[in-house]
Amino acid sequence: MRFLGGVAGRAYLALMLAFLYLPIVVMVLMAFNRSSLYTLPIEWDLIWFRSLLHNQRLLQAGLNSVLLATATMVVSTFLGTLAALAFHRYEFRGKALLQALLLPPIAIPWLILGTAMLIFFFWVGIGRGLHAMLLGHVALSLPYVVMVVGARLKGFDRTLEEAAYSLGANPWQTFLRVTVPVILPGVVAAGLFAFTVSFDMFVVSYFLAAPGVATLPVEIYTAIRTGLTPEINALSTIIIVVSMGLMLAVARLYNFAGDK
Amino acid sequence: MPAVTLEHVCKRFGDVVAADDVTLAIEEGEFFALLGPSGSGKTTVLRLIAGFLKPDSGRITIGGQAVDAVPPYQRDIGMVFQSYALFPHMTVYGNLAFGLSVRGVPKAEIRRRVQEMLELVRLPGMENRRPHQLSGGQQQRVALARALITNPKVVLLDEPLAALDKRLREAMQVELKQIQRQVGITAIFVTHDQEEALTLADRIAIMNQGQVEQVGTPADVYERPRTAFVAGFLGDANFFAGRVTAAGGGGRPGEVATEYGLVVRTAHPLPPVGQPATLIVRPERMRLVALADPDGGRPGAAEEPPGAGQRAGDPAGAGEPAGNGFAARVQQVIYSGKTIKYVVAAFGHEFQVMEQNRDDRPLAAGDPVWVAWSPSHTVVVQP
Repeated sequence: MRFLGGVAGRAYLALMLAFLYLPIVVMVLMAFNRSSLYTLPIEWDLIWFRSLLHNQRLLQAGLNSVLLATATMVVSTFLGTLAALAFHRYEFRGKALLQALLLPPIAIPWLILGTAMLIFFFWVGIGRGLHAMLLGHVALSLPYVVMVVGARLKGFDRTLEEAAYSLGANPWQTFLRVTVPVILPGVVAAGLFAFTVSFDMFVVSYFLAAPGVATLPVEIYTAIRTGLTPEINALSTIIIVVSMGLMLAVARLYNFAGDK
Repeated sequence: MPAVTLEHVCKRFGDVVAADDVTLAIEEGEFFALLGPSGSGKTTVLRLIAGFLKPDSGRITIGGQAVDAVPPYQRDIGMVFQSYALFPHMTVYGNLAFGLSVRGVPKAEIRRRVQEMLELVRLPGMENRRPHQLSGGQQQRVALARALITNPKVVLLDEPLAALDKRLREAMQVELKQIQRQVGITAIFVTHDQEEALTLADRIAIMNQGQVEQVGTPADVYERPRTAFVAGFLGDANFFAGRVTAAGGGGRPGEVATEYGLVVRTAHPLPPVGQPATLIVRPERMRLVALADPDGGRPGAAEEPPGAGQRAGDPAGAGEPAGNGFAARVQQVIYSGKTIKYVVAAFGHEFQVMEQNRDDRPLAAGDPVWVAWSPSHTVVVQP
């Protein structure tokens, strides 16, 4: 029975993993295939990675994405960490309401949010472009940052700060030398999260992109509409590797945050 | 000049009065205990001294200076927390160096002082360990060393030994006292463990419901508790309540006619005749004498204090002024090695008597006994 259970369990696990990763594996393999028509057997080649290097549009979009994600990460992490500290530290009117209001941006479909932002940004004169995309990305990644840092702060022992005060450290020294280092794994995880949210964001970017200014996901979408080239597979492979690397880093730091 | 004073300090949290008109003076170099049950306000008092709480009214001084407007980090205190609160991201060295480094002490000086402190708490060679790599007792010592390294005016200890197991706790008590003596620092510690307070402290303040019930040396508060609460909190006590029938004085004991119909004599000052009075006797101050006669005859003269011949329900006879005693029956025998506790019954009540385990013919449940004690061990307390 136990043996059968073990076999069934393993088979189930294998199916799950195949379901999750098989399409990705196929795409990555095709990125290394010389044929542009997905023919088998695979002829191993880096031709699509090389041609990617000469695709100015994709390269520019990639640069935009990295810049935007980095800016989003910095702004979101800074604002979100301060918000999480305020939630953790102070009791104030409307605190529960504000905390509840963090969740809808995660639950509301991005398509609707993107439309809303587009209309609103035009209405107040912000318009479209990288600056509008930055605002959108920050707004959408902020709740994640507040929650991830907040989770780390839940395990933060405030007597550590009292200990620092009793040893003569002023509030600023205490914050920089005790509070920040102790919650740092949570803050870094939140920052990586924000980067990933921005880097992978398509819908909102698509709505808020000015003509001629695109991020990678937007450019890829455009490229696919005009004709699928294995260049996209190569690019996707790079993105997958970077994204998964970041997420693994988040998971590691987050776990570190959990068991201290 | 006292090292720390509190004058009429009050602190309330909503409806709860955590510190109610607390006035204390802790002397230079003193090891002072704040003792009380949980919720008695002892931790509040400690946090008021540390500056983590602001008093609603009253005045606190440290080293002769009022600290009402001084934030915790300028009060020049050291603090040991129940959870130790060691900085998890720093090594032992980093933890010890912290207080000096925020004061801008030069690196070489810090290194020297850290080594000194590690020697003092007997942890040399541990500077590169992280807190989670240390045992509970070692963490406790690091916390103590960290609090002492800045040479504070006073060190505050919040249940410093509560997280340790019993054997380690007892070992650390001895060590803590030694270190405090050696450094000569003023220390205030909070505890709910009366034995710990009695063992460690030079003086103890017993707190109850935000108020200081009594301040005194361990012998003072144990032998001469001022209130029934202090008597009961510091150890077991047998209570006798009644009315004063003779005030005593001039070498003659006072007398109280108790609710049991027994007259109890005390050598301590009583309220005026006719007033109610509560008396307590510690179990180890009472002695048991086996009675041969089951219906409560007098014990043999050899075991009986001179003059103690009073029987239950028989008011003090003329010419028998000195002792206290009554006949009872052993209800329960609680054996704990070096001592034996007897629960004896008389007047429909139970009394506790603690005897050293030196008799080779211990009493058994059901045995008739004579309970005897001296008027000087009969303490008058406020109810």
